[in-house]
Amino acid sequence: MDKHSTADNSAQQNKLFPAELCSAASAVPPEQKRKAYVMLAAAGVTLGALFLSRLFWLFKPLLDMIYYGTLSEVLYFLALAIMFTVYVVFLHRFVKRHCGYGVLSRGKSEVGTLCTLIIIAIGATTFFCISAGFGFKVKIEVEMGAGVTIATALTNIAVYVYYGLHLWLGLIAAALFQHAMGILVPTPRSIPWGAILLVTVFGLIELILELYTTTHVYPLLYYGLTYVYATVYELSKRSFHLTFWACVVIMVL
Amino acid sequence: MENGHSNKFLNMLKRTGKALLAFCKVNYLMCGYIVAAIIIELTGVAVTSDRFYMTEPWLFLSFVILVCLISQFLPGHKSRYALFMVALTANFIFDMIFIVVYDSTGGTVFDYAMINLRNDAITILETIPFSFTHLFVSAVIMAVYGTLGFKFTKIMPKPNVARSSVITTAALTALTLSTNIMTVYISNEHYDSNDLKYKLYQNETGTYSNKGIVGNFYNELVRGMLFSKIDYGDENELKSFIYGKTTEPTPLTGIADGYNVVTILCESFEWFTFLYDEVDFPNGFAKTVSNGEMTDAEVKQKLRELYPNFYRFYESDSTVVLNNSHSLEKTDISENKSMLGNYPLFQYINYDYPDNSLPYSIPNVLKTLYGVESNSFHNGYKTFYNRNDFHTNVLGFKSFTAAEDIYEATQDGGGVGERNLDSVMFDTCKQQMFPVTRRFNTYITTITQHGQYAYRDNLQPYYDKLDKAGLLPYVEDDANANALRYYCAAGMDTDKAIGIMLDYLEANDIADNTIITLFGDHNAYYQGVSNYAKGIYSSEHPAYTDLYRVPVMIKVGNANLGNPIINKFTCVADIYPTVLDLLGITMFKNLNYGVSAFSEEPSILYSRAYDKFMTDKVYFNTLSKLIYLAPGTDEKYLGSVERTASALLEKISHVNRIFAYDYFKGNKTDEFNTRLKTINEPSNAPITGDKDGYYV
Repeated sequence: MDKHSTADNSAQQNKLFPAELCSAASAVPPEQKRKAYVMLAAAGVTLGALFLSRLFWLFKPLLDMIYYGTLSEVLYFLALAIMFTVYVVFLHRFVKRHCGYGVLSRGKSEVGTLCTLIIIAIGATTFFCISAGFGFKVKIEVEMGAGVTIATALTNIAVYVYYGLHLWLGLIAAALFQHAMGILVPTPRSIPWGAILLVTVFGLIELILELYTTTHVYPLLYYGLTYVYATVYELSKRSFHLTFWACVVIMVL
Repeated sequence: MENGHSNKFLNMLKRTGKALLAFCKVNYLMCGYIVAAIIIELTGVAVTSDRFYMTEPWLFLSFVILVCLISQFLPGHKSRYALFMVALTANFIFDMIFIVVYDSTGGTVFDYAMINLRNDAITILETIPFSFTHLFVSAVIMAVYGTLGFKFTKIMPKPNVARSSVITTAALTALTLSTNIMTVYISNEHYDSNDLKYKLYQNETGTYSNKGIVGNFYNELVRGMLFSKIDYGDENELKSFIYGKTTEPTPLTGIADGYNVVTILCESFEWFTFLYDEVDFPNGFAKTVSNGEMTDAEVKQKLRELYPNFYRFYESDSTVVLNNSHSLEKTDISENKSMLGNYPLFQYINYDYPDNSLPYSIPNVLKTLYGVESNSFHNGYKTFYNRNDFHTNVLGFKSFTAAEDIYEATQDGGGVGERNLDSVMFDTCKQQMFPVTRRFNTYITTITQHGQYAYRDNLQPYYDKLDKAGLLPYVEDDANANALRYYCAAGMDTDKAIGIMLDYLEANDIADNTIITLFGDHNAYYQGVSNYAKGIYSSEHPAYTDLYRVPVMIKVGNANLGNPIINKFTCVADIYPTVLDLLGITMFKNLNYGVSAFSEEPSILYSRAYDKFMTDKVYFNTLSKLIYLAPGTDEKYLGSVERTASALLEKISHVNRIFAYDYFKGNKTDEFNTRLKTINEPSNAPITGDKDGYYV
């Protein structure tokens, strides 16, 4: 449950014990429940769209007819970016109309200075540890690899955009899940549903798909990063935009 | 009374403190920006020159002050925040770009003429060596500044841009701009195109520790645009300088008179490609011995099997080995120096002088004197370093054959993202390279040993051979050892190419009258392969200049020379006079930066690309601060270095004029050719020396 809604009923909720959760959940008005289920469905569809988008790669021979070679990957990622953007705009409007929740709207609560510094420290520590693991080489340098021509550099950059898009949709699903579960399961202290979704459903499925359908060299590292994303999401008071951009920087570096 | 004074003083201090605090609160973004910009810049300096300071930070500071002053015109924190973030980001990106350039070129500091190389730079940029330290420090600083700076916009007192302060700020801005212009003027005012000796005593160290990365970039832009004009000066003086002296005979002058000429620039060629030496190359093949896996005799035997043609060349009775030759240039400069004997300062001639007349290039000289046809070959792309135009238009080659032509001939597009094979080039072009029916001059630039040194499919047979021999095995998590392995495997293909050439020359009975020069254009600086193989990482090393010691071998037909080893210091500029000397061609001496390897005259290397002077005993950018001095070197030697360097700078200033004003255009080429023929007439021919007495 979000902090705003808990604040309204804080006195009442402080008395709640786990055994009473069911009754608290059943006390949620049906209208609110309906909205929560719509949001859960939206989160599921988002994750489904995200994972099924990999099938789009089956169209590679078609893209190769337009431009054969590594640049066809750039075309693929470009097409995916357009599709995802259209989908997200549609989703945002749909959820806002039917649930009154703007998934991309800016949050009203401000992240404190201490939390901001902790997020920076987490980002810096992650950057430091990953680089140290590569012998103090920056991850992006390792991933760019040797033999970097303009075409390979473009493709590599497109791959970062691709993972950025995945993170974008993953975070949207996490935000929807967090909000929906906060309504359906009212608790004295807010449970990090979104963070849990990020490291389990989103992170794990991404890991499995990366392992078995791609030649990604560091899928485990990227899965490890989902824990960092989840931490940042919590520390930023589930601020969607702050989390996304901080995580993009962490992912690239 | 005394108490009254101290109270007044304390009150004044308190008032000043309060005013300062108030100022800092209002201008907290500016204060933070100054600190952040200085740390980012100093980190950039530190990762490129190992120094966390700048000796001449004035240009950089003037930029920082300018940004601060501009911010004073802006009414609110948010607009100032945007300005400072843009300035910091620009600072960071500038630094990052030039650190990548520095790291990927073995330590090149930006100079104005490099702008012409931008397209080539993108082509050879095989990896992007981001500096971890710079990126980490900058990222943390910008993240902290970006978030805290933005947060405090609501807390800190709003700036008040009063009219009076606008006038003061405008005045200060004008003052800072003036100071900036003055500083850049003072920094360059010593430039004198007619007297370059200032370079010997300058403050510049050829690193970013002088002006910083941003300061150097700005200074180079101004220098390139305003302080690089070359004064033509007195034409008669230039003419008498060019024709004033001719080269003197040496004991081997004319030993290859009438021979065919083959010059092979071997990309990144190093002695440790095929030689075993536990002292000079401790991490090379000697490592197998130090690990106790083989004896030195076994390793040497295996190397002869792996590199049969390098040994065939190196140990030939007809081969002169320049064992103390050094190079510190980029490929294009080494290439031109070996064909021209000189190279102007500040420019890259392939791009800056694509239509000049240079009658003294070896192809032009051989055409003028003997009607010899010259052809050039390179298995890189045609347009790389503008060779396609420069080799035929300027250097005097009849044709330039490049990778595209070889692909067409072999119907092979080459491995994607891989360097071409030298052996394929030699095999495909051997008939054009070494024509049997006429005298020829052929210049070949190889590419297989070009970095980056990573796994390549087309070199797999050589990896297998190395593994079979038990040498340079692949080592998990040892990037240095693996880079050396890939480098030496590439060398095996160049060895194969040399074998193709030697076999062809012998099979067609032209080996007897062909002089072949094989030389390394520069050390294997990619991925620090040279540093690793030689165990040399800093100028503190007692034999630091060995880092730049590269092979030069000259095979003079099948002459019985006894495989002499020349231990005199030589450099890439000495190749031109040495080849002409062996061919028995007298040249105008002041056009040569170097001297024949068989002459007793000393040589000195001046690196155009790195702005450094070097002999085997000393390495410096400025005589007032030597970077390296070999143990036991005395003042007398330094005095001779100073004289040789001064003489070289005088030649450079004249060569600058020759290039900048295309001195040899039109009738002057005819005049040069007439004079060249005159000094090379049989009656004026130099007396050939005693070949047993040459300088070793």
